[in-house]
Amino acid sequence: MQIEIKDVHKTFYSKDGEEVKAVAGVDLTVTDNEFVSVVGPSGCGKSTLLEIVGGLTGLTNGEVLIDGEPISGPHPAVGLVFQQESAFPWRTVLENVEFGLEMHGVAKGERRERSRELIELVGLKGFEDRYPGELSGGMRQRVAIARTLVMNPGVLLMDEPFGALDEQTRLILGEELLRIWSKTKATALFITHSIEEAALLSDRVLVMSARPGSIRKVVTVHLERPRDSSVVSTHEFGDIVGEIWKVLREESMKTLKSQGQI
Amino acid sequence: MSYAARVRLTRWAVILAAIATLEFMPRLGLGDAITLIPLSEIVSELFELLTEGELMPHLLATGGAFVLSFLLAGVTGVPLGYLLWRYRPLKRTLDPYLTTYYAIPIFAFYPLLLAILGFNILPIVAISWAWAVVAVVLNTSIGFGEVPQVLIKVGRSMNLSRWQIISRIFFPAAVPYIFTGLKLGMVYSLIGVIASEFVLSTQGLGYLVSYNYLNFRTAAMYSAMFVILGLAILLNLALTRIERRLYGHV
Repeated sequence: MQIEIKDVHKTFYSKDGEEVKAVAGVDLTVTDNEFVSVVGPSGCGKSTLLEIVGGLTGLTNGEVLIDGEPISGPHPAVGLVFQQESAFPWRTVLENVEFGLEMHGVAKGERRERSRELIELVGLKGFEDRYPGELSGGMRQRVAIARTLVMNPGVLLMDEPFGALDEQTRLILGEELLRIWSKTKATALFITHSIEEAALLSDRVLVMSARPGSIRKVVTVHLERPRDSSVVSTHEFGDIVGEIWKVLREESMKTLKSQGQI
Repeated sequence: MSYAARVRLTRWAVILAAIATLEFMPRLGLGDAITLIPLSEIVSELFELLTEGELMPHLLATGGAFVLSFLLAGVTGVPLGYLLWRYRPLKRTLDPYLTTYYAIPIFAFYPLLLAILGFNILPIVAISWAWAVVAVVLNTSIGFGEVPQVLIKVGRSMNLSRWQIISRIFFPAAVPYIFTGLKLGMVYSLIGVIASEFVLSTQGLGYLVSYNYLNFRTAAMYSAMFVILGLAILLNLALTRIERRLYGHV
Protein backbone atom coordinates (compact mmCIF):
# COMPACT_ATOMS: atom_id res chain seq x y z
CA MET A 1 0.00 0.00 0.00
CA GLN A 2 1.07 3.54 -0.64
CA ILE A 3 1.10 6.48 1.76
CA GLU A 4 0.95 9.99 0.36
CA ILE A 5 1.46 12.89 2.70
CA LYS A 6 0.67 16.12 0.92
CA ASP A 7 1.68 19.48 2.34
CA VAL A 8 0.57 18.52 5.85
CA HIS A 9 0.43 21.24 8.48
CA LYS A 10 -0.54 20.93 12.11
CA THR A 11 -1.01 23.82 14.48
CA PHE A 12 -1.90 23.41 18.14
CA TYR A 13 -3.12 25.95 20.58
CA SER A 14 -1.51 25.69 23.98
CA LYS A 15 -3.47 26.30 27.18
CA ASP A 16 -2.62 30.00 27.20
CA GLY A 17 -3.95 30.27 23.65
CA GLU A 18 -0.49 30.40 22.16
CA GLU A 19 -0.12 29.10 18.62
CA VAL A 20 2.30 26.17 18.32
CA LYS A 21 3.26 25.00 14.85
CA ALA A 22 4.14 21.31 15.19
CA VAL A 23 4.30 20.30 11.53
CA ALA A 24 4.76 22.78 8.71
CA GLY A 25 4.40 21.50 5.20
CA VAL A 26 5.53 17.89 5.04
CA ASP A 27 5.41 16.22 1.63
CA LEU A 28 6.25 12.54 1.41
CA THR A 29 5.28 9.49 -0.57
CA VAL A 30 6.07 6.07 0.84
CA THR A 31 5.69 3.48 -1.90
CA ASP A 32 4.38 -0.03 -1.59
CA ASN A 33 6.49 -2.27 0.66
CA GLU A 34 8.99 0.50 1.33
CA PHE A 35 10.54 1.07 4.76
CA VAL A 36 10.97 4.74 5.55
CA SER A 37 12.30 6.16 8.79
CA VAL A 38 11.94 9.65 10.14
CA VAL A 39 14.59 11.08 12.45
CA GLY A 40 14.57 14.55 13.89
CA PRO A 41 15.42 16.58 16.97
CA SER A 42 13.15 16.02 19.94
CA GLY A 43 9.92 17.97 19.75
CA CYS A 44 10.18 18.38 15.97
CA GLY A 45 6.71 17.01 15.37
CA LYS A 46 7.66 13.55 14.08
CA SER A 47 5.31 11.75 16.46
CA THR A 48 2.55 14.18 15.55
CA LEU A 49 3.13 13.40 11.88
CA LEU A 50 2.77 9.69 12.59
CA GLU A 51 -0.44 10.21 14.56
CA ILE A 52 -1.84 12.23 11.67
CA VAL A 53 -1.11 9.40 9.23
CA GLY A 54 -2.61 6.99 11.76
CA GLY A 55 -5.79 9.07 11.86
CA LEU A 56 -5.52 9.69 15.60
CA THR A 57 -4.89 13.42 15.25
CA GLY A 58 -6.53 15.76 12.80
CA LEU A 59 -4.48 18.02 10.53
CA THR A 60 -4.77 21.75 10.05
CA ASN A 61 -3.94 21.78 6.37
CA GLY A 62 -3.06 19.36 3.60
CA GLU A 63 -4.09 15.74 3.24
CA VAL A 64 -3.01 12.17 3.76
CA LEU A 65 -3.93 9.47 1.25
CA ILE A 66 -3.71 5.74 1.73
CA ASP A 67 -3.72 4.00 -1.64
CA GLY A 68 -5.13 7.16 -3.17
CA GLU A 69 -7.98 7.54 -0.65
CA PRO A 70 -7.90 10.56 1.66
CA ILE A 71 -8.21 9.50 5.32
CA SER A 72 -10.58 11.03 7.82
CA GLY A 73 -9.75 8.88 10.85
CA PRO A 74 -7.99 5.59 11.61
CA HIS A 75 -7.76 3.61 8.38
CA PRO A 76 -8.61 -0.09 8.80
CA ALA A 77 -5.48 -1.17 6.91
CA VAL A 78 -3.14 0.95 9.03
CA GLY A 79 -1.55 -0.56 12.13
CA LEU A 80 0.20 1.42 14.85
CA VAL A 81 2.88 0.49 17.36
CA PHE A 82 3.62 2.99 20.11
CA GLN A 83 6.68 3.84 22.14
CA GLN A 84 4.96 3.63 25.50
CA GLU A 85 4.04 0.37 27.14
CA SER A 86 0.84 -0.65 25.45
CA ALA A 87 0.44 -4.38 26.06
CA PHE A 88 -2.70 -4.84 28.18
CA PRO A 89 -1.47 -6.02 31.61
CA TRP A 90 -4.74 -7.84 32.35
CA ARG A 91 -4.49 -10.06 29.28
CA THR A 92 -2.07 -12.89 28.58
CA VAL A 93 0.24 -12.70 25.58
CA LEU A 94 -2.19 -14.74 23.49
CA GLU A 95 -5.18 -12.68 24.65
CA ASN A 96 -3.28 -9.49 23.88
CA VAL A 97 -2.40 -10.58 20.38
CA GLU A 98 -5.90 -11.72 19.52
CA PHE A 99 -7.49 -8.57 20.98
CA GLY A 100 -8.15 -6.76 17.70
CA LEU A 101 -9.51 -9.86 16.00
CA GLU A 102 -11.76 -10.54 18.98
CA MET A 103 -13.10 -6.98 18.90
CA HIS A 104 -13.85 -7.32 15.20
CA GLY A 105 -15.80 -10.52 15.71
CA VAL A 106 -13.35 -13.07 14.28
CA ALA A 107 -14.31 -16.57 15.46
CA LYS A 108 -12.31 -17.97 18.34
CA GLY A 109 -10.68 -20.86 16.46
CA GLU A 110 -9.49 -18.66 13.64
CA ARG A 111 -8.20 -15.84 15.81
CA ARG A 112 -6.34 -18.29 18.05
CA GLU A 113 -4.64 -19.82 15.05
CA ARG A 114 -3.63 -16.49 13.53
CA SER A 115 -2.46 -15.18 16.89
CA ARG A 116 -0.30 -18.24 17.50
CA GLU A 117 1.36 -17.77 14.10
CA LEU A 118 2.17 -14.16 14.93
CA ILE A 119 3.43 -15.06 18.39
CA GLU A 120 5.80 -17.51 16.79
CA LEU A 121 6.87 -14.94 14.20
CA VAL A 122 7.84 -12.40 16.87
CA GLY A 123 9.67 -15.09 18.82
CA LEU A 124 7.37 -15.42 21.81
CA LYS A 125 6.44 -19.07 21.35
CA GLY A 126 6.10 -20.69 24.76
CA PHE A 127 5.02 -17.42 26.40
CA GLU A 128 1.41 -17.48 25.18
CA ASP A 129 -0.05 -17.79 28.67
CA ARG A 130 2.24 -15.33 30.40
CA TYR A 131 1.13 -11.87 31.43
CA PRO A 132 3.02 -8.76 30.25
CA GLY A 133 4.11 -8.09 33.83
CA GLU A 134 6.13 -11.30 33.70
CA LEU A 135 8.03 -10.31 30.55
CA SER A 136 10.93 -7.97 29.82
CA GLY A 137 10.39 -4.58 28.17
CA GLY A 138 11.62 -5.90 24.82
CA MET A 139 9.27 -8.87 24.97
CA ARG A 140 6.33 -6.65 25.86
CA GLN A 141 7.06 -4.56 22.80
CA ARG A 142 7.03 -7.72 20.69
CA VAL A 143 3.58 -8.45 22.09
CA ALA A 144 2.44 -5.01 20.95
CA ILE A 145 3.95 -5.58 17.51
CA ALA A 146 2.28 -8.97 17.16
CA ARG A 147 -1.04 -7.49 18.28
CA THR A 148 -0.78 -4.93 15.47
CA LEU A 149 0.49 -7.36 12.82
CA VAL A 150 -2.21 -9.93 13.47
CA MET A 151 -4.64 -7.46 11.92
CA ASN A 152 -2.69 -7.84 8.68
CA PRO A 153 -2.02 -4.13 8.15
CA GLY A 154 -0.97 -2.95 4.70
CA VAL A 155 0.68 0.03 6.39
CA LEU A 156 2.67 -0.25 9.59
CA LEU A 157 3.32 2.93 11.56
CA MET A 158 5.82 2.70 14.40
CA ASP A 159 6.57 5.49 16.85
CA GLU A 160 9.95 4.70 18.44
CA PRO A 161 8.85 1.19 19.38
CA PHE A 162 12.25 0.41 20.92
CA GLY A 163 12.84 3.90 22.24
CA ALA A 164 12.70 2.83 25.87
CA LEU A 165 15.32 0.10 25.38
CA ASP A 166 19.10 0.27 25.49
CA GLU A 167 21.14 0.56 22.27
CA GLN A 168 22.22 -3.10 22.03
CA THR A 169 18.71 -4.42 22.58
CA ARG A 170 17.42 -1.85 20.15
CA LEU A 171 19.73 -2.96 17.33
CA ILE A 172 19.00 -6.62 17.90
CA LEU A 173 15.26 -6.05 18.03
CA GLY A 174 15.62 -3.90 14.91
CA GLU A 175 17.17 -6.86 13.15
CA GLU A 176 14.26 -9.00 14.34
CA LEU A 177 11.85 -6.36 13.11
CA LEU A 178 13.41 -6.55 9.64
CA ARG A 179 12.92 -10.29 9.56
CA ILE A 180 9.27 -9.95 10.65
CA TRP A 181 8.57 -7.05 8.32
CA SER A 182 10.00 -8.92 5.31
CA LYS A 183 7.28 -11.53 5.85
CA THR A 184 4.43 -9.05 6.14
CA LYS A 185 5.06 -6.98 3.00
CA ALA A 186 3.62 -3.96 4.79
CA THR A 187 4.62 -0.42 3.94
CA ALA A 188 6.46 0.88 6.97
CA LEU A 189 6.85 4.37 8.40
CA PHE A 190 9.14 4.34 11.39
CA ILE A 191 9.91 7.14 13.84
CA THR A 192 13.11 7.03 15.84
CA HIS A 193 15.71 9.25 17.41
CA SER A 194 18.46 6.69 16.80
CA ILE A 195 20.39 7.31 13.58
CA GLU A 196 21.88 3.78 13.60
CA GLU A 197 18.47 2.23 13.96
CA ALA A 198 17.08 4.30 11.10
CA ALA A 199 19.98 3.42 8.80
CA LEU A 200 19.82 -0.26 9.70
CA LEU A 201 16.12 -0.62 8.99
CA SER A 202 15.27 1.74 6.16
CA ASP A 203 15.23 2.16 2.44
CA ARG A 204 15.10 5.90 2.96
CA VAL A 205 15.76 8.04 6.02
CA LEU A 206 14.11 11.45 6.31
CA VAL A 207 15.68 14.06 8.49
CA MET A 208 13.20 16.52 9.92
CA SER A 209 13.96 20.10 10.81
CA ALA A 210 13.60 21.66 14.22
CA ARG A 211 10.06 22.74 15.10
CA PRO A 212 7.97 23.49 13.12
CA GLY A 213 8.81 20.19 11.49
CA SER A 214 9.40 19.87 7.79
CA ILE A 215 11.67 17.56 5.82
CA ARG A 216 15.25 18.81 5.62
CA LYS A 217 16.90 15.91 3.84
CA VAL A 218 16.21 12.49 2.39
CA VAL A 219 19.00 9.92 2.62
CA THR A 220 18.63 6.78 0.53
CA VAL A 221 20.12 3.66 2.09
CA HIS A 222 21.57 1.40 -0.59
CA LEU A 223 22.54 -1.43 1.71
CA GLU A 224 21.56 -4.84 0.44
CA ARG A 225 18.65 -6.75 2.00
CA PRO A 226 18.25 -8.98 3.90
CA ARG A 227 20.36 -7.06 6.41
CA ASP A 228 21.36 -7.81 9.93
CA SER A 229 22.97 -5.68 12.60
CA SER A 230 26.48 -6.63 11.42
CA VAL A 231 26.22 -3.98 8.68
CA VAL A 232 26.74 -1.45 11.45
CA SER A 233 30.50 -2.01 11.17
CA THR A 234 30.74 -1.44 7.38
CA HIS A 235 32.10 1.69 5.69
CA GLU A 236 28.91 2.31 3.74
CA PHE A 237 26.93 2.27 6.96
CA GLY A 238 29.33 4.75 8.52
CA ASP A 239 28.94 7.07 5.54
CA ILE A 240 25.16 6.96 5.74
CA VAL A 241 25.19 7.67 9.46
CA GLY A 242 27.59 10.55 8.85
CA GLU A 243 25.37 12.01 6.16
CA ILE A 244 22.31 11.87 8.39
CA TRP A 245 24.16 13.24 11.38
CA LYS A 246 25.47 16.27 9.47
CA VAL A 247 21.93 17.54 8.92
CA LEU A 248 20.51 16.30 12.19
CA ARG A 249 23.30 17.98 14.13
CA GLU A 250 22.39 21.39 12.70
CA GLU A 251 18.73 20.92 13.46
CA SER A 252 19.37 19.62 16.96
CA MET A 253 21.59 22.64 17.65
CA LYS A 254 18.75 24.92 16.57
CA THR A 255 16.38 23.14 18.91
CA LEU A 256 18.78 23.28 21.84
CA LYS A 257 19.54 26.95 21.23
CA SER A 258 15.87 27.84 21.06
CA GLN A 259 15.41 26.09 24.40
CA GLY A 260 18.37 27.95 25.84
CA GLN A 261 20.21 24.73 26.60
CA ILE A 262 23.40 25.74 24.76
CA MET B 1 17.24 -20.58 58.45
CA SER B 2 16.25 -18.35 55.56
CA TYR B 3 15.24 -14.75 56.09
CA ALA B 4 11.64 -15.47 55.06
CA ALA B 5 11.42 -18.37 57.50
CA ARG B 6 12.76 -16.21 60.33
CA VAL B 7 10.16 -13.56 59.55
CA ARG B 8 7.40 -16.16 59.57
CA LEU B 9 8.63 -17.61 62.85
CA THR B 10 8.74 -14.17 64.43
CA ARG B 11 5.18 -13.50 63.32
CA TRP B 12 3.94 -16.65 65.00
CA ALA B 13 6.01 -15.81 68.07
CA VAL B 14 4.24 -12.45 68.34
CA ILE B 15 0.84 -14.15 68.26
CA LEU B 16 1.90 -16.74 70.82
CA ALA B 17 3.33 -14.06 73.07
CA ALA B 18 0.06 -12.11 72.86
CA ILE B 19 -1.94 -15.21 73.73
CA ALA B 20 0.36 -16.02 76.61
CA THR B 21 0.14 -12.47 77.92
CA LEU B 22 -3.65 -12.51 77.76
CA GLU B 23 -3.75 -15.83 79.55
CA PHE B 24 -1.23 -15.27 82.32
CA MET B 25 -1.50 -11.58 83.13
CA PRO B 26 -4.90 -11.93 84.84
CA ARG B 27 -3.84 -15.21 86.47
CA LEU B 28 -0.79 -13.48 87.97
CA GLY B 29 -3.05 -10.77 89.31
CA LEU B 30 -1.80 -8.08 86.91
CA GLY B 31 -4.82 -5.97 85.97
CA ASP B 32 -8.12 -6.08 87.81
CA ALA B 33 -10.25 -9.18 87.66
CA ILE B 34 -13.34 -7.50 86.21
CA THR B 35 -11.78 -5.98 83.12
CA LEU B 36 -9.08 -8.53 82.36
CA ILE B 37 -9.83 -12.24 82.36
CA PRO B 38 -7.76 -15.21 81.17
CA LEU B 39 -7.99 -16.06 77.51
CA SER B 40 -9.06 -19.64 78.20
CA GLU B 41 -12.19 -18.39 79.97
CA ILE B 42 -12.99 -16.13 77.02
CA VAL B 43 -12.58 -19.00 74.62
CA SER B 44 -14.84 -21.33 76.58
CA GLU B 45 -17.43 -18.55 76.84
CA LEU B 46 -17.17 -17.94 73.11
CA PHE B 47 -17.62 -21.63 72.45
CA GLU B 48 -20.70 -21.68 74.66
CA LEU B 49 -22.23 -18.64 72.95
CA LEU B 50 -21.61 -20.23 69.60
CA THR B 51 -23.10 -23.61 70.46
CA GLU B 52 -26.10 -22.15 72.25
CA GLY B 53 -26.86 -20.10 69.16
CA GLU B 54 -26.91 -16.87 71.12
CA LEU B 55 -24.42 -15.25 68.72
CA MET B 56 -26.21 -16.14 65.53
CA PRO B 57 -28.85 -13.38 65.40
CA HIS B 58 -26.19 -10.79 66.19
CA LEU B 59 -23.84 -12.14 63.56
CA LEU B 60 -26.68 -12.07 61.03
CA ALA B 61 -27.67 -8.53 61.95
CA THR B 62 -24.12 -7.25 61.61
CA GLY B 63 -23.53 -9.29 58.46
CA GLY B 64 -26.76 -8.05 56.86
CA ALA B 65 -26.08 -4.39 57.57
CA PHE B 66 -22.49 -4.77 56.43
CA VAL B 67 -23.33 -6.51 53.14
CA LEU B 68 -26.05 -3.99 52.41
CA SER B 69 -23.94 -0.93 53.12
CA PHE B 70 -20.92 -2.28 51.26
CA LEU B 71 -22.96 -3.23 48.19
CA LEU B 72 -24.56 0.19 48.20
CA ALA B 73 -21.16 1.84 48.51
CA GLY B 74 -19.89 -0.16 45.53
CA VAL B 75 -22.95 0.31 43.36
CA THR B 76 -23.08 4.05 43.97
CA GLY B 77 -19.36 4.73 44.45
CA VAL B 78 -18.03 3.37 41.16
CA PRO B 79 -20.43 5.35 38.91
CA LEU B 80 -19.92 8.45 41.05
CA GLY B 81 -16.17 8.02 40.72
CA TYR B 82 -16.58 7.78 36.97
CA LEU B 83 -18.66 10.96 36.85
CA LEU B 84 -16.14 12.73 39.03
CA TRP B 85 -13.36 11.81 36.64
CA ARG B 86 -15.42 12.54 33.53
CA TYR B 87 -16.68 15.99 34.47
CA ARG B 88 -13.79 18.18 35.48
CA PRO B 89 -15.90 21.05 36.88
CA LEU B 90 -17.61 18.57 39.19
CA LYS B 91 -14.28 17.37 40.48
CA ARG B 92 -12.96 20.88 40.93
CA THR B 93 -16.09 21.89 42.80
CA LEU B 94 -16.15 18.88 45.09
CA ASP B 95 -12.41 18.54 45.68
CA PRO B 96 -12.19 20.47 48.96
CA TYR B 97 -15.13 18.51 50.37
CA LEU B 98 -13.71 15.18 49.32
CA THR B 99 -10.23 15.79 50.65
CA THR B 100 -11.53 16.89 54.05
CA TYR B 101 -14.26 14.29 54.13
CA TYR B 102 -12.51 11.80 56.39
CA ALA B 103 -11.72 14.54 58.87
CA ILE B 104 -15.44 14.71 59.72
CA PRO B 105 -16.56 12.31 62.43
CA ILE B 106 -19.66 11.20 60.62
CA PHE B 107 -20.80 9.13 63.60
CA ALA B 108 -21.64 12.36 65.36
CA PHE B 109 -24.63 12.72 63.07
CA TYR B 110 -26.41 9.68 64.42
CA PRO B 111 -29.19 11.55 66.25
CA LEU B 112 -30.09 13.27 63.00
CA LEU B 113 -30.17 9.99 61.13
CA LEU B 114 -32.28 8.40 63.84
CA ALA B 115 -34.76 11.23 63.57
CA ILE B 116 -34.94 10.96 59.80
CA LEU B 117 -34.75 7.21 59.28
CA GLY B 118 -36.16 5.79 62.49
CA PHE B 119 -34.78 3.28 64.96
CA ASN B 120 -34.02 0.39 62.63
CA ILE B 121 -31.30 -0.92 60.33
CA LEU B 122 -31.45 2.14 58.03
CA PRO B 123 -29.40 4.63 60.05
CA ILE B 124 -26.69 1.99 60.47
CA VAL B 125 -26.60 1.29 56.76
CA ALA B 126 -26.65 5.02 56.03
CA ILE B 127 -23.69 5.77 58.28
CA SER B 128 -21.65 2.82 57.03
CA TRP B 129 -22.43 3.64 53.43
CA ALA B 130 -21.46 7.27 53.93
CA TRP B 131 -18.27 6.19 55.65
CA ALA B 132 -17.34 3.75 52.87
CA VAL B 133 -18.57 5.36 49.67
CA VAL B 134 -16.11 8.22 49.49
CA ALA B 135 -13.13 5.85 49.53
CA VAL B 136 -14.68 4.03 46.58
CA VAL B 137 -15.44 7.27 44.73
CA LEU B 138 -11.96 8.71 45.22
CA ASN B 139 -10.08 5.60 44.18
CA THR B 140 -12.32 5.00 41.19
CA SER B 141 -11.83 8.52 39.90
CA ILE B 142 -8.07 8.27 40.46
CA GLY B 143 -8.08 4.91 38.66
CA PHE B 144 -9.78 6.29 35.56
CA GLY B 145 -7.35 9.19 35.58
CA GLU B 146 -4.39 6.81 35.70
CA VAL B 147 -5.35 4.83 32.60
CA PRO B 148 -2.45 5.41 30.17
CA GLN B 149 -3.56 7.37 27.09
CA VAL B 150 -1.62 5.01 24.86
CA LEU B 151 -4.02 2.15 25.67
CA ILE B 152 -6.90 4.27 24.40
CA LYS B 153 -4.89 5.06 21.28
CA VAL B 154 -4.46 1.34 20.68
CA GLY B 155 -8.24 0.98 20.72
CA ARG B 156 -8.78 3.97 18.46
CA SER B 157 -6.16 2.82 15.96
CA MET B 158 -8.03 -0.49 15.75
CA ASN B 159 -11.23 1.35 14.86
CA LEU B 160 -13.05 0.17 17.98
CA SER B 161 -16.36 1.70 18.95
CA ARG B 162 -16.57 4.08 21.88
CA TRP B 163 -18.30 1.45 23.94
CA GLN B 164 -15.67 -1.19 23.13
CA ILE B 165 -12.92 1.19 24.20
CA ILE B 166 -14.68 1.95 27.49
CA SER B 167 -15.67 -1.60 28.37
CA ARG B 168 -12.70 -3.56 27.02
CA ILE B 169 -9.79 -1.19 27.60
CA PHE B 170 -10.65 1.69 29.83
CA PHE B 171 -12.51 -0.19 32.53
CA PRO B 172 -10.17 -3.20 32.88
CA ALA B 173 -7.20 -0.82 32.99
CA ALA B 174 -8.75 0.99 35.96
CA VAL B 175 -9.73 -2.18 37.83
CA PRO B 176 -6.73 -2.36 40.18
CA TYR B 177 -7.55 1.13 41.49
CA ILE B 178 -11.26 0.45 41.71
CA PHE B 179 -10.48 -2.69 43.64
CA THR B 180 -8.33 -0.75 46.09
CA GLY B 181 -11.33 1.53 46.63
CA LEU B 182 -13.66 -1.40 47.15
CA LYS B 183 -11.22 -2.96 49.61
CA LEU B 184 -11.08 0.20 51.67
CA GLY B 185 -14.84 0.56 51.33
CA MET B 186 -15.35 -2.93 52.67
CA VAL B 187 -13.23 -2.27 55.74
CA TYR B 188 -14.90 1.10 56.31
CA SER B 189 -18.35 -0.47 56.00
CA LEU B 190 -17.53 -3.01 58.67
CA ILE B 191 -16.14 -0.34 60.98
CA GLY B 192 -19.22 1.78 60.28
CA VAL B 193 -21.62 -1.02 61.12
CA ILE B 194 -19.90 -2.13 64.32
CA ALA B 195 -19.45 1.41 65.61
CA SER B 196 -23.06 2.33 64.80
CA GLU B 197 -24.39 -0.71 66.58
CA PHE B 198 -22.92 0.56 69.84
CA VAL B 199 -25.58 3.23 69.95
CA LEU B 200 -28.04 2.62 67.15
CA SER B 201 -29.13 -0.94 67.68
CA THR B 202 -30.40 -3.65 69.95
CA GLN B 203 -28.74 -6.28 67.82
CA GLY B 204 -25.43 -7.00 66.21
CA LEU B 205 -21.88 -7.62 67.35
CA GLY B 206 -21.22 -3.98 68.17
CA TYR B 207 -24.31 -3.91 70.34
CA LEU B 208 -23.20 -7.15 71.98
CA VAL B 209 -19.86 -5.67 73.00
CA SER B 210 -21.51 -2.59 74.41
CA TYR B 211 -24.32 -4.47 76.15
CA ASN B 212 -22.00 -6.99 77.79
CA TYR B 213 -19.63 -4.25 78.83
CA LEU B 214 -22.41 -2.32 80.53
CA ASN B 215 -23.60 -5.47 82.31
CA PHE B 216 -20.18 -6.58 83.56
CA ARG B 217 -20.31 -9.73 81.42
CA THR B 218 -16.63 -9.44 80.65
CA ALA B 219 -16.11 -12.87 79.10
CA ALA B 220 -19.06 -12.39 76.78
CA MET B 221 -17.81 -8.93 75.83
CA TYR B 222 -14.43 -10.29 74.88
CA SER B 223 -16.08 -13.12 72.96
CA ALA B 224 -17.95 -10.61 70.84
CA MET B 225 -14.74 -8.70 70.27
CA PHE B 226 -13.02 -11.85 69.12
CA VAL B 227 -15.83 -12.62 66.71
CA ILE B 228 -15.45 -9.13 65.22
CA LEU B 229 -11.72 -9.64 64.95
CA GLY B 230 -12.24 -13.01 63.27
CA LEU B 231 -14.72 -11.48 60.84
CA ALA B 232 -12.29 -8.73 59.89
CA ILE B 233 -9.46 -11.22 59.35
CA LEU B 234 -11.67 -13.49 57.23
CA LEU B 235 -12.80 -10.59 55.05
CA ASN B 236 -9.26 -9.47 54.56
CA LEU B 237 -8.15 -12.95 53.56
CA ALA B 238 -11.02 -13.27 51.09
CA LEU B 239 -10.15 -9.91 49.54
CA THR B 240 -6.50 -10.75 49.20
CA ARG B 241 -7.44 -13.98 47.51
CA ILE B 242 -9.79 -12.26 45.04
CA GLU B 243 -7.19 -9.61 44.36
CA ARG B 244 -4.55 -12.21 43.51
CA ARG B 245 -6.98 -14.00 41.27
CA LEU B 246 -7.92 -10.81 39.46
CA TYR B 247 -4.56 -9.25 38.80
CA GLY B 248 -1.83 -11.02 40.72
CA HIS B 249 0.22 -10.96 37.52
CA VAL B 250 0.02 -7.22 36.92
